[in-house]
Amino acid sequence: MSRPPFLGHGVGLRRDHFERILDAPTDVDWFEAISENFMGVGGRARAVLDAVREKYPVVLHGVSLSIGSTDPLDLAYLDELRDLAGSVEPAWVSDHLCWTGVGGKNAHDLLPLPYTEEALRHVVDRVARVQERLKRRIALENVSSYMAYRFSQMPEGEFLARVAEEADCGILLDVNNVYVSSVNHGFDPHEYLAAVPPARVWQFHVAGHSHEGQLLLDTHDHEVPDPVWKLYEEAVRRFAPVSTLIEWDDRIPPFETLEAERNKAAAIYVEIAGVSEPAVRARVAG
Amino acid sequence: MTAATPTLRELQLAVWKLLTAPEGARPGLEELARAGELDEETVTAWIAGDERLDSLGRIDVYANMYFFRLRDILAEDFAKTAAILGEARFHNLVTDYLLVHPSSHPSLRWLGRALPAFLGEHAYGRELPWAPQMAALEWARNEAFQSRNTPAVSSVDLAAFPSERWGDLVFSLKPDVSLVTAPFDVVGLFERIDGGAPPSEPERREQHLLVHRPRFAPEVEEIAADEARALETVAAGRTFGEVCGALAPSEELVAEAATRAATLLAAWLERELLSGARLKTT
Repeated sequence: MSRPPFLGHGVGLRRDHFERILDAPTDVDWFEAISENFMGVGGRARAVLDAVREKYPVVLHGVSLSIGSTDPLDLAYLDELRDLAGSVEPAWVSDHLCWTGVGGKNAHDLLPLPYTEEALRHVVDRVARVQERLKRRIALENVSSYMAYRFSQMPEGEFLARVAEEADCGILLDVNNVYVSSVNHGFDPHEYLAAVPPARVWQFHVAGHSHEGQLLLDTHDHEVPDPVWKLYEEAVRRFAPVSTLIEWDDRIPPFETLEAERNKAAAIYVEIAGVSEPAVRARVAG
Repeated sequence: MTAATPTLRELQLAVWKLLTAPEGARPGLEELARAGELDEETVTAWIAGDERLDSLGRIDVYANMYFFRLRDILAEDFAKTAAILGEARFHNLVTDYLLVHPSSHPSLRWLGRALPAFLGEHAYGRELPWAPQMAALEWARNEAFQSRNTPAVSSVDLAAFPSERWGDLVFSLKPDVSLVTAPFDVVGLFERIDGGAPPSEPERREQHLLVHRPRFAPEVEEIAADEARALETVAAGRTFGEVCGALAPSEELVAEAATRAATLLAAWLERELLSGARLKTT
């Protein structure tokens, strides 16, 4: 299967930076917008998204698909997402390999699945139905987790790889999440990366985290720490060309700080992969 | 699968109960154990713990994030209401609210939809009766800010309908438009809190507020009682003829009411408050 185009190095589109992004040029190659923040939403937020899209490639990244939930798929949600994607024309659409709620309720958190054959069949079937409804393939992101299930039948990396291969979808490989979960559950992050098929990796996420007791929390509120940069180097070596995104969602810094993190990721990437020019920049006029 | 291994559905329902338990996972498990639904042995067999954090402690990481994430969203959406109640009472209100109204929508935007009415029935709302009114105003402003873009009905659109049938026209309000009626000066209180003043009891004065989004920023206009009544009639899906009726205090004043309704309609078109017009079908 073909991978989507290499977009370069991007950052998340956050409300705090709307004016800065539109008022002056940036070093950023592309932006990732949270799908739910724009589904059924008008006014300024939508106007900003459209204006950004005129200048940059955009990827839509969801948090509420709940692909692993045992509730029925939310078809109204999928139709709304399909409509948004139809008008924004993102480079791709992504969400998380997790469940976010059950019984018609939503925790708005990325809850880990057990890595069992039952869960695998369940997710693969749902990804196929989601891709059919959206009329496009999606990428699924590995989540950070703080609990794991004793009855899992395979490592997380293998589960992620099998979902992507069997459902014919992409992988959004969150390098920080691999690192955070490896510390929280005591697995080898290098073995995790080795289990992931390169042809399935569409995008990287790189982010900071915080410490809670002896566990790590995926808080996206710090600069990227050294162990995550080290793992990113390994991921670039193994999977490039893959577009990279810096995530920073809480205690959001000035745009220039985010841009500096993006530039650091780009410098690491170029040194290892020797690629600097993204294949796609702005929307083609007309 | 062994008997001790849950199905995916069983696991999710059990984890959900633990992570949404208002006092945390352990008290939640104790309650479930008393009801014979789940016990610690089962949870420990399902969820891996270690010397750093046991099984329940790991669920508690999610339980804490569940509550505090949703509380923070509501505190942002209802910042002035939270200021009126104070931190501790707002925290307790959110705890009570989430038990009755957990999020059921993929977007957090809708989480606070029922909060104004819930606060109106809550002890805190009875203690500080202007707080639910403030919550209603804040919700209306949030919706005005975010609601989807919808084309407005224009006078050109209306000209397509024969004038003798205008009494049968049914209009829709645009999604950014809502009405708030409060027995207190909540707009004044909103502005004082916004300016950094401590929340104080507002003047008792009935306000009819029209909240809408002319361009990007929400706008709050105080309108006359009869205009509020007319817009409420529109919002209820009634015909323009019935809007005229709502403006007429008596049968003798029907002609004056029709004139007033026409004036209001022109103003609504000018302010782009209406999104749809159709003839009532019998």
